Amino acid sequence: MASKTASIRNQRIINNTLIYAILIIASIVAIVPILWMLSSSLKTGIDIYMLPPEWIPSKPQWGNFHEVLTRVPFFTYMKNTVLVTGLGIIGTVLSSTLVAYGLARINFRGSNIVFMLILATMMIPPQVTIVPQFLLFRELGWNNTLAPLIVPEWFGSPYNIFLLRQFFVALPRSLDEAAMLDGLSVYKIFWKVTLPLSKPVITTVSITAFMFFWNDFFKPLIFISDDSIKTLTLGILEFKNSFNVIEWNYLMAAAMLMLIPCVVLFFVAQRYFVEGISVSGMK
Amino acid sequence: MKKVVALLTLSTMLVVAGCGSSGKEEANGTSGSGGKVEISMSIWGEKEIWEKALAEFESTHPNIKTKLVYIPDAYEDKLMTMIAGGTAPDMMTLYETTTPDLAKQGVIQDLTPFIEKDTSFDLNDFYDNTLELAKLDNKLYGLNYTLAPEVMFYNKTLFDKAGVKYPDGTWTWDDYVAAAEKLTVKDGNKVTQYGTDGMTSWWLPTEAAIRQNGGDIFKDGKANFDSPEVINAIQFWADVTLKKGIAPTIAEMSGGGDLFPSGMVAMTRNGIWLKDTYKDIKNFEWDIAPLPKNKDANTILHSSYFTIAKKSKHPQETWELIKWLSGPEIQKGVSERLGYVPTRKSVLEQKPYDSGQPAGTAFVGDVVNYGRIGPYAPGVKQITDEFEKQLEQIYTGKLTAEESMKAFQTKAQSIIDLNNK
Amino acid sequence: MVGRSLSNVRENGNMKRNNLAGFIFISPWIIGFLLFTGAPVLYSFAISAFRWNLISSPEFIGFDNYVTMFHDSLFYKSLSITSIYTLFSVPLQLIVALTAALLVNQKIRGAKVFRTMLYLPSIISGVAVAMIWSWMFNPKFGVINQVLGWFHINGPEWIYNEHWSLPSMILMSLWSFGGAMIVFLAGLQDIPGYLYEAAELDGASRFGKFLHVTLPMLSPSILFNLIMGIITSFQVFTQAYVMTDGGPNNSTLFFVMYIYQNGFQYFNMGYASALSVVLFVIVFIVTMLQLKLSKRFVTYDK
Repeated sequence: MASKTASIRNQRIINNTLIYAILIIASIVAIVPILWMLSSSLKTGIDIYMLPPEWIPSKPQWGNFHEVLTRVPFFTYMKNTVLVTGLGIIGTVLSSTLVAYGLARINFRGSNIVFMLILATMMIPPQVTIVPQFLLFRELGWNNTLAPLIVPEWFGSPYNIFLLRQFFVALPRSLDEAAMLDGLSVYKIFWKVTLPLSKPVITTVSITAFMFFWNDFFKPLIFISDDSIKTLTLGILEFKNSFNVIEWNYLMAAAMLMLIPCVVLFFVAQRYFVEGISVSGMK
Repeated sequence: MKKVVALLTLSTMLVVAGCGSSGKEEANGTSGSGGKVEISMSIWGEKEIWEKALAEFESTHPNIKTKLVYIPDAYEDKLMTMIAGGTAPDMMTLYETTTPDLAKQGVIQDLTPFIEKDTSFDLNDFYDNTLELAKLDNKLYGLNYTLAPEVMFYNKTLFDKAGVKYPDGTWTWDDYVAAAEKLTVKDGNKVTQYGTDGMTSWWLPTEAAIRQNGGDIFKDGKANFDSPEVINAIQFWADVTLKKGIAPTIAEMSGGGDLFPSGMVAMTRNGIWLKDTYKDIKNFEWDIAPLPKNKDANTILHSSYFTIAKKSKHPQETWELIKWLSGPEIQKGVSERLGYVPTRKSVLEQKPYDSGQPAGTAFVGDVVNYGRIGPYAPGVKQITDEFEKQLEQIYTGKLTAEESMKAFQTKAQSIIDLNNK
Repeated sequence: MVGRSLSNVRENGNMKRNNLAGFIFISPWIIGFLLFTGAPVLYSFAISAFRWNLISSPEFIGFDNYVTMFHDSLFYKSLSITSIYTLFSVPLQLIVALTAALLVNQKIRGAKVFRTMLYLPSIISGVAVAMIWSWMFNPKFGVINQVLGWFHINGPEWIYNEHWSLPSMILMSLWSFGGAMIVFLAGLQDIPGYLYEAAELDGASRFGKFLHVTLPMLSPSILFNLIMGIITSFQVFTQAYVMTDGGPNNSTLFFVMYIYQNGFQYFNMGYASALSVVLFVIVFIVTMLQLKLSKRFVTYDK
């Protein structure tokens, strides 16, 4: 009997060792690119092409970050990105919440079809509609402004509507019924009863939206050309300039600077990143 | 049937919308406050040079405010998107080779009326042949400020080590290859140092080689890719990489991994702008020399034209800007700083490019005597985009120059025909 | 998910129909859909009948763009590139994410730290990822071939070689499996313990439990990740644009990249629109398949 427990214990130790080994290797693979980026961002333009490469630069070039901040109007790009992200999040979260609530809690004709359509539009890549949108914004005189990046997102994003709807569906019916008996209209119920209960899922959706707007590349590429309204994703590319000369050290430094807000947000709101999906009732 | 009707209805709507829109589009120039006129200009390259130039322009032209649209990456694609989107800058710097097509499409306007009115401007000061692509039907659509030749950069330290004589300006392709062979170092089968860089898929350096071989990709407005001069020139440099093994492959060079600063290639051919990047090299000595010749001495003179958008609301002010940017002060400054060749005779005479940084800059001004700006045929952008894909195939050994170019000739000519319609 | 939504709607039958309020709530989406999806798709169809560079006036050419397309080898190439990418990247990412979720879900010390580390790459996306990886993939100076060199392996030229470029991008897509991992993790944590206990009583092995309890109970998560994965891989653009510009030799010319090139590099708006219409039809078919699939294979706990 004793030997059996021992063998089970041994088995468990072997298992755990294996699990740790895999997890440690996987974590290294996950982290190395980020460390490599940091290391490259601290080298000179000549040292970056040295073999074998130094992992820890002997003379860290902190000046690279200064160069990145001064060579391009980095803070302008940052300001634009914050503006787009901020207005984008507000618009998309507000509208998505409305739509999701309508679909989940109000019984009306055609709601099924609308929900199906929303799921279907989630699949459509932005490139499919880019040519007509480009023409539309040319008519409106919005090309080379920030509006094309923001305004279309003010009408609800399918993914967010979907997440929010799953959450609203799971809320107990009795809440609405009680409020209705108190004589509240659907609008009041939405505003006074449902929204206050939805803070976690709204936070999650806001974070998703943050990641979307912060990293949006395709639309800025098409619509933005003036320096004064460029966003960071375009700004980074300035260090990949023409004539096939890429300044990897500055590029990596710029990418680092762009990541910092994401990393900070991640550690502040980690709960919502890694638990958000279960909060929303999505499984 | 219903679908056809729907399609036709939509098409009509489209045409109507298309026509309606053309009147409404505006160029970017908006009148600023206090009677100031604002004009915008687009350019790539060294940003601070343009910021400084614009600041000086504003101080001497108090009624004009300028806005810099700086596009360092994928310049032409971005600019075309702006033009198509109705947000073209007042002053557009255009690649020399695509300027004629844009002039034909009515995107830019004739400068002749401004030049004729302007007594303080002397067109005769410019090297006429460098303006050839800005001319169309007796009109002049652009002015240039500089010529950036392709030159040879060589690593003196490696030359000394291998006991190879420095290039003296008389080198032929064979001299170049012989030197590269001596400068290639192998460790077993692995090459640890290449004699020369290889050709990349960028078409202009290949075009320089083709011209040195007495050919050109276009001849009398027709595609000329299947001529022996073109095929042999491309194959020669493909073989330097593929057969002789004295140059790195495209894959080894790509990703911006320019191998010259690391001391892994002894010679490289590129635009003179790399002088400014290489000035930070500390672990070896280097210098520049003219490109080697074959049948002819030749090089590509990279240029660009300052043009006025057709839809600019302030063409006169934009002309003032062009005059300033192609003027002697700017040309001299850029030449001193980057080693480019001025396009004004009066400036070239002062040899501002001969900074002695590095030592061998004296020859640079001579390029106006034998070098030429890029070639043109209708649809040149699309043709050269496709040409680059063919070059990639050839320089990686997937196709021979003959196979590739014989087939490509038909395609290139069909693009020209389509654009001639 | 869809099955569940339908049943919910039915459950709500006791509520009074409220068409006006419903319409008001969903009106933002309807307006947005009409303006930015519905009308553009129809408009694309119209533009596809023209030759137009947006600068000169459009020229009506009927179905010529579609005829051109069916003779265009790049059209087929870009279709197959997107398909191959999807076929490999999506399942591989699911497997990696599920494995990671199972490991992190073990009751071991430091599980949370590992979870954070594994998730970290997923907060970086788009241009920054493309930049990091194109530098890592550099054949000479990149970290990947450096590490391979320690083991005396001569690494390939990755994204700079036409045979390796697409596999490189698939490999790179596996780096950001964190989002899918989290979805699986949430799914795993929702599986009631008694199901495992019951399986144990039936004498199920570890693998048996995984096969008969874990997998069926995870089917909604698997479907969700599958659909999100397909959506993402249909939209791969940034990587191709930033890292390879569709090359070498068009080996990473994803379908949406080809649309972009025709539209905003060659200014062939008619052709770009024709390609868009085809992609729209493909997306429509795939969506229909997914809806069917979700009804047939997904187990719900209700």
